[in-house]
Amino acid sequence: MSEARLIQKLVHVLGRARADALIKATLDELGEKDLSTPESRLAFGQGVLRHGGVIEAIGRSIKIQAILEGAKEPPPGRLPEDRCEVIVLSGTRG
Amino acid sequence: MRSRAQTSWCLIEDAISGAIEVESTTMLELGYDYASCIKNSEKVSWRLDDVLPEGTPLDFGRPFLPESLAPTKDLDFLSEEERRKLNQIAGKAYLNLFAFVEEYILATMMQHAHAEMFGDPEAMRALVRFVDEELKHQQLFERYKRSFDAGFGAPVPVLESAVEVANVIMSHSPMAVMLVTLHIELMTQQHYVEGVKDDEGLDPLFKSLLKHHWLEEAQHARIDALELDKLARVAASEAHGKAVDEYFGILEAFDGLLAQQADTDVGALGAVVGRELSDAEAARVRAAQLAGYRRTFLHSGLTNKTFRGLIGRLAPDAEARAGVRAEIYA
Repeated sequence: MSEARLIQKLVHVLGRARADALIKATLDELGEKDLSTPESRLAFGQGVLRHGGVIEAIGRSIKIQAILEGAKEPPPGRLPEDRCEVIVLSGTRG
Repeated sequence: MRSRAQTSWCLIEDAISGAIEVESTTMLELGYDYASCIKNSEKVSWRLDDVLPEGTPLDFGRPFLPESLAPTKDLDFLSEEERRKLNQIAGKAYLNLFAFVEEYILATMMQHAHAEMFGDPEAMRALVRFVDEELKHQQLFERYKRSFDAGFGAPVPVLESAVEVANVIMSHSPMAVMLVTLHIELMTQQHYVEGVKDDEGLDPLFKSLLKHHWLEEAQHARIDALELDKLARVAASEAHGKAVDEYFGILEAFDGLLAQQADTDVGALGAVVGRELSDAEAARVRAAQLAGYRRTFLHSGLTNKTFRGLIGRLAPDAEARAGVRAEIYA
């Protein structure tokens, strides 16, 4: 359910193609296969928010949603985003 | 096995097609939604300046709170006027404690609204209205406190550590925080409907304040329940039990806060009546104030039928535990 809410946020703002590219790239960077746990969604939000602009705002929203659902933020200096390079988005809104 | 590339596209397809379910069923079986909360909120909305213009003088000729919330009639060593003063001291503390808890409620509901950004627009609108209304309530209570201080004739200190209290509450799990919030919003309604609304002896302005507070809190309680439901549906049953444990722990901490306010009231009453109370009198005043605060802030939430029904769905023993706790605070 939470997974679907997260994806719908991205699709709603970016369209399917760009959302797909972003999800794919972020999952790759994180080494995750799904977003079924609050922790994976927190890491995903951290990864997404590094893009800046409106995508950063979506990432923050995803991150807060994950925290409300029970994810714990790692102590400073050990953020999952530290292992996540900025991902260049490709594709167009579709 | 799916590759990551396949996974992301499948996730999108599933989310859009509904194969991954998005909140179609409710765990708490609520009979309302965010849209109806917005509609009601728009219907009852009021302006701060219409309810209490800045600098409104207060009439201290009548009690502010009903005997059920501020019990003074057994304090037979106090004159009628002194008992009324004590009641008004409790009235100021009552509003202050609401302004107090609204500090953490604001922060919490802002988080919940943020989590809905780009998501469900109805939920986001309901939550943002909620935040706006809570801020308005805080301003209303602060305004009232300024009028109180200008006209009461003696300083009445109240607790001032709202941020610390907010920190303590928000250090718990979001579900526990939402349970406490639901408790508070439901008890507010109970106070007005059962104790204030039909009491013709109370100060009309104070009654009006509580009425306007109640009108908007009715929607807030529903939004709390919807948010609690949202959190409960994605959490494991152990997390439900843990949230219930934490909720009872927060109530205990809140009880300590109420004891501090009762201590403060004893000093305030001494200053108002212009004489020092004996140790025995001070102890009775303190006990009466604490009993009133406990009944008001703890007992009435714990015995609220709606609250009991909802907490009972989170953990099998929660309703019985609420009953035991309610007895302690009765």
